[in-house]
Amino acid sequence: MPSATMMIDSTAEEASLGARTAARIRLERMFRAHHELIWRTLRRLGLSADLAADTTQQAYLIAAERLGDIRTGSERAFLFSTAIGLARTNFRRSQRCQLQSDMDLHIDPGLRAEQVTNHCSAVELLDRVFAKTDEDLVTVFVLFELEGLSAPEISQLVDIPVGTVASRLRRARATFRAAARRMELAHAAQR
Amino acid sequence: MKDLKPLLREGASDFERQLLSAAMRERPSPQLHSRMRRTLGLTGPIAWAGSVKAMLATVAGKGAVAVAVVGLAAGVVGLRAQQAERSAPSANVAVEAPSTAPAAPIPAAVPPSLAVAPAAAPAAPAAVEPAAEEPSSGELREEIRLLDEARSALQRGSGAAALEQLDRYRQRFPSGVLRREASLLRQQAVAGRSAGAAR
Repeated sequence: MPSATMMIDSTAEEASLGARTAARIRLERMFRAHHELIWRTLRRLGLSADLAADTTQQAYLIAAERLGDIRTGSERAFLFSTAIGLARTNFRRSQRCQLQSDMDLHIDPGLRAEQVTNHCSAVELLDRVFAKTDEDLVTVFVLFELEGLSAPEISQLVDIPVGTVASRLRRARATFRAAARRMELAHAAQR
Repeated sequence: MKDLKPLLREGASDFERQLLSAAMRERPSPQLHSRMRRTLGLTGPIAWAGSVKAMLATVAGKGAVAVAVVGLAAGVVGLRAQQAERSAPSANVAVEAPSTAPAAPIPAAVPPSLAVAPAAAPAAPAAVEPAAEEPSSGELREEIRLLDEARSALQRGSGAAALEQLDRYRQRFPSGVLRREASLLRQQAVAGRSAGAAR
C-alpha cells in the first residue's frame, strides 16, 4: 500500500503535469493565432525579418512566463503591446532611419506599377513609404489595412480611443497614398 | 469610421493594391518560423519544461540575452531594455523589473545585422513546416481533445480509462505535436494503475 506521502506526491505531480500541458497548449494556440500579425506589424515598423522574428519570440517568452496573469481573451493584446514595447526599446528610431537611408540608396525610386511584380520589391517600397511616418500611424494603418481589424479592435489592442484610431488611420492613409502617387509620378517623369 | 473599408476592398489604385497585397502576403520564412517554435519549445525535440528558464536552458543561441520581466500588470507592459553595442559579439538585452526573480539567461538569437534581407517569404502555407510539426487546426484540436480526456480520466483516478485514451492518441497521432505530453500522461497513468493494484 502506498504511503500517504507517495500519494500526495503523485497527486501533486499529476496536477503539475496537467498545468504544464494546459500551458503548452495555450501557448501553442497563442502562437498559431497571433504570431504572424505581430511579426508583420514589426516588419512594417522597420525591423528586419530576423529581428522581427526575434522580437516576436521574446514577446512570447515573456507571455509564457506570465501566462497565469494573462486573462483569457487578452492574449493578443498582451503579446502585441509587449512586442511593440520591445521593438521600440530594442530598435531605436535612429537605427530605423539609418536603415531606411541605406535602402534609399539601393532601391529604384521610380518603379512603375506594372514593374512591381516582385514581392520583395513591393514590400520594400511599402516600407520606404512608411520609413519616415510616425510609428503610431503605421501601427494603426497595418492593423486596419493589412490585418483587417476593426476600429474597436484596434482601439482595444493599442489602448487608444476609437476616435484616435480613426484620425491616425486618416493621416496614415494620406501619407501612404501621397507617397505611392509620388512613386508613380516619378517614374512617369523619367519615361 | 463605421463605413470605412480597407483600401484593398475599396478605393486602392493598382499600384497601391500591389504594395498592400505584397505586405499582406508576407510571412516569416520557414526557417524563422521553425526557429521561433523551437525557442518557445513548441516543437517535438524540445520538451515543454513548464518553466521558461528551464526550457531556454536547452536551446542553443547565438548570443546571450538576460531577461527578467515584471511590471506586466493587467496587460500593460512596462519594459526597459538596454541593448549592447552593435559591435559586441553578443547583444545583451535586460528587461528589468522590481522582481525578486533572478535574471535568466536566454538565447538571444538576435543577429547583429540590421540589414533588411529578403528573409521573409511570401505566403506559402504548405511549405512552412513539416507535417509532423504543423498539423491542421482540426488535428491539433483532436490531439488536445484526446489528451484532455486522458487527463480528466487520470484526475478521476481512472488510470485504465486514461490509458485507453492515450492508446487512441498514439494510434491516431504517432508523430503528434503533443506526443511528449502524451508520454508524460502515460507514465502517470501507468504509475497510478500500479499503485491501485498494490492497494
